Amino acid sequence: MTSTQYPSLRIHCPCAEPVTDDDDQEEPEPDSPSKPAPPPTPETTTKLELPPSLDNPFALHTLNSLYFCDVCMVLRCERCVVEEVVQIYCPACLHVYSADTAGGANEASKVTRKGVRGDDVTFCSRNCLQCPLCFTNLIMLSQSTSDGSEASGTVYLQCPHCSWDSRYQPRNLTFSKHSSLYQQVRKLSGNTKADEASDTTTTTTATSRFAALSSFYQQLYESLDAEEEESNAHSAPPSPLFSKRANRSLETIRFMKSHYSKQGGAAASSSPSLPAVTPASVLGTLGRAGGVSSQKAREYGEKEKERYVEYIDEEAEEEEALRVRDVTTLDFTPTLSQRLANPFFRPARTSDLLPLPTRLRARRAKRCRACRHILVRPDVSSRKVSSSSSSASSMATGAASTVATAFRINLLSKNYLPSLRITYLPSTSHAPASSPYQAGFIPHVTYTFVLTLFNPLYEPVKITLASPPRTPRHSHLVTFLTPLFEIGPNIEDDWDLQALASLRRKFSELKRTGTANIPLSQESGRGGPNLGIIDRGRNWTSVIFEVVPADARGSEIVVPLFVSVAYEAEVEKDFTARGDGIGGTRDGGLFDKEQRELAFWSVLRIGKVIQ
Amino acid sequence: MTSRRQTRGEYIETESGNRISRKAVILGSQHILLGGRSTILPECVVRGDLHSPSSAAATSPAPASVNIGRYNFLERGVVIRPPFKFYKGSLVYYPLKIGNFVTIGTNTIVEAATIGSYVKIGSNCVIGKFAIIKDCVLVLDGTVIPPTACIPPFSVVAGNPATVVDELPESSAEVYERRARQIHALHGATLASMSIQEVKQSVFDDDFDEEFDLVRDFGHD
Repeated sequence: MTSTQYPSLRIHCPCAEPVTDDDDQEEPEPDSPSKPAPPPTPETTTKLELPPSLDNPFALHTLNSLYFCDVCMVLRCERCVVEEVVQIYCPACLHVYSADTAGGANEASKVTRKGVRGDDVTFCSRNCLQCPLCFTNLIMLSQSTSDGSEASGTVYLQCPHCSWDSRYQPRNLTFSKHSSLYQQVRKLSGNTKADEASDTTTTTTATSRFAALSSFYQQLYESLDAEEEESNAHSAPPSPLFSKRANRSLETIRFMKSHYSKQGGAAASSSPSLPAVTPASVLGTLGRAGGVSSQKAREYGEKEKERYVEYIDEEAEEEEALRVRDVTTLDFTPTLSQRLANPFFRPARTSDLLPLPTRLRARRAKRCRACRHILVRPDVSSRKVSSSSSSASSMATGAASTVATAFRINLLSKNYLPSLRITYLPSTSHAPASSPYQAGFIPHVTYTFVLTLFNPLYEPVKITLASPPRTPRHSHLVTFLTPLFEIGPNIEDDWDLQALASLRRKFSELKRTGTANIPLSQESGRGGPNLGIIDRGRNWTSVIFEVVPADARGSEIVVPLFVSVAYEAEVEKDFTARGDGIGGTRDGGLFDKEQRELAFWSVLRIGKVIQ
Repeated sequence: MTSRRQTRGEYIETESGNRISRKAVILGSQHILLGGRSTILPECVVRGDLHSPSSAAATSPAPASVNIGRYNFLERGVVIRPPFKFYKGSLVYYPLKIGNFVTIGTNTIVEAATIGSYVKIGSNCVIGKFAIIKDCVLVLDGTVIPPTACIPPFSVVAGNPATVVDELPESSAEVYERRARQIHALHGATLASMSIQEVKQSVFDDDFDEEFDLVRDFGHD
C-alpha cells in the first residue's frame, strides 16, 4: 500500500506474531521510567493486549482476501496458508495440462510439473507464442492467402498490438504447421545442443559461433578428462597443469599470461581470424608436458581451426563492423524486460528477438497451516465449464477440460466474520464541504463516526467491541459508545440491499443536519447500554464512535479495534459417543446448541491530524 | 415497458428491471438482449445494428448481436461494438456476449468477443476485437487489451498492452456479484448518473470501490 486512502479498514492476521515466551514480560524498559504497573499474572487472563504486529502492513488485510478455517475457528491470510497445485493450464489457449481431478479432501494433490516425456512442463507446447517486444499473444497467419486454403503449410506470426512480424529481416521466420510452434522456436533459440544450432540459415553468425565453440570445448574437456583417467591409471603423477579441470583453467590462464608476455604481439598464428591463444594452441605448445600426446594436441589444433574457418563469414563480419560504426542511437537494443523474458538468449538487437513461449499458470488449493484442513479447493473436473461458456465464442472447447471458476470448497472470512464500514457524520459547526479525510483533523475537536457491521452468519450474533481508550502511538481519544450489541441473522443471504438505500438516505440527512440532531433510535433513546446504536436492520447494526485527536500535528489516527463475535451454533448431536442409541434426550431434537466465539483485531486508519 | 407518467425520468425501466438512460445511444435494439436488472448510463453507445446477415435469420427472430447479461452496469460513455473481420473481401460481424455482474467503467470501448461474469472493467479501457475475458477478472483503468487476447480467470490486467499484473482472491466471484447487486439497488434509489465509486461513497466513506488490496503502482518500462 503505497498511498493509503482514508479511511481504511484492515483486519489483522495473527500469523505475523513473533513467537515469544510469556515469561519475559517483567523486563523494565530503560527509556520509560514512568511505566505503569507490570502486566497481571497469568491467572487473570481477561486483560486484552494489543498484538505487537498490529503496525506491520503485511499483517493487515482486507476482509475479502482472507480465508477462514472452521476447524480452528480462526481467520487465515494468504501468507499463513499452505498452497498446493491442483491444475496447470496455459493462460493463452486455456488448455489444461494436468489436473488433479480425483483429489480427496485431505490428500495432497498429485499434480506435478512433469510432462509426458519426463521433462518439466513450464511452457505451453501448443501454438501459443508471445511477441518479444510487447508480450501479447501472437496471431498465426498462413503465408499464402490467395485461395484461402489452409493446407499451404507455411505459417508466420504477427503481433496484433505492435505489428511485430516474424517475417521481418534478418530473421525471416516462417514455420511449418506440422509440428507445434513451440518446438520450432525452441530449436531456433539454441537451447538444445549446439548440433542443432549449426543450421546457419536462421541464426546469426555470433550465436552459431558461440554455440559451436562451446560444444567444441565441452567435448575437448570431456576427452581430456577421459585421457587423464587413462594416463593416471598407467603412469606417473599427473602433470600439475592438467590435474583437475578447475585447476586446469586457472593454470591455463596463468600460462597464457606468461605466454603472451614472452612473445609479445607475435603470438598471432597464421590465420588472422584465429584468436592468439586457445586451449588447443596451448596444448600444442606445451606438448608432452601437458599430459597429452603431441599428436593429439595437433589433432585438436586442426579441429579447432576447421571449426573456426567453417563459421567465419568474412562478409557478414565486415557488415556488422560497419553497422556498429554507424550507430548513433541505441534504440535497437532490447529493453531489460525484453531481455529478461528469455535470459539465456541474448541478441544484440531487437530485430534478432525470437517469439517467446507462454508460461503455464497453476490453480492452487489452500490449506490451513495448523490443522491441514482444506480452505479452498477449485473444481477442476472436466464436466464443468465456466459459466460464461458461449457457443458464440470462436474458441473451440473440445474434449479437453477448460479452466473454470467453480470451487468445491471455498471457506472465506467474509462469510464468517462481520464486515465493517465507516461513515463520518459532521456536526453542525463544520462546513460540510471539506471532508476531514482530506483536509485533516483538528486536535481537541470531537468527530463522530458511524460504524456499521454486517453479519454474514445465519444466526444472530452478539458483538463485543474493544479498543484502547487512547490510540497506542499518539494517544488520540477514541470512545465507542456501545461496546456490546447484537446483530440479526442473515436470513436471505442478500445483505439487505434495500437497506443500503435507506442507509444512504439516512446518512445524507444526518450529514446535512449535523450530529446534534441524531434521531436516536428507539433503543438508544432509552439510554443505558444501547446508547450508541443509531440504526439497525435485518442483518446489520450501526453504532457511533467518537474520536478526539490529540495535539500531535501531522500524526495519523490509527484505531485498533478488537471485535468479538459470539453466537450459538447448532451442532449435530453425537449419538455414538453416548452409546444410548436414538432418543433419550430431553428435548428429543437432533441438534445441540454450542456457544461459539470468533474474534479478530482490526485497524481503522481514519486520517491525519493537520500540520 | 412500464412508463412513469408522473415525471419523464431520465431512465427507461423495462419489466425485467433494466434501466436504460434516454441519453444513451442504442442502435438496433431488436438485436440487443439485456438480461434483467442491467443499467446503462447516459452517453453510452450500444451498436446492435452491426451484425452479419446470417442464413439462420429465416428460422429464428433477429439474432442477437449484442448479448448483455444480468446485473450489469455500464457507466457513462461506454461503447459496445461487435467485432468484425475481413473475410473474402467483405466485412463480417460476430456477436458480442457479456456475462452477468459485469461493471464497465466510463468511456471504455468494448469490442471483445466474450466477456465472462463477475468482471470489473475500469474506465478509459480499450478492449480489442475478439478478445476473450473469462470470469472473475479485474481490468484496471486505462488498460488496452490487444485483439484476440485471452485473459484467464482470476487475473488482474493493466497496462498498454495488457499484461497480467496480479491475481484475484477466490472471493472475487461473490464480491463482484454483491457489488453489482449493490450498485443496482443504490442506483435504483437515486436514479442519478454517477460513477459507481461516487454512488458507493454516498453511503459509506471507506467504500472506495476497491474490494481487494492490490499493489497500486505497477512499474512500466
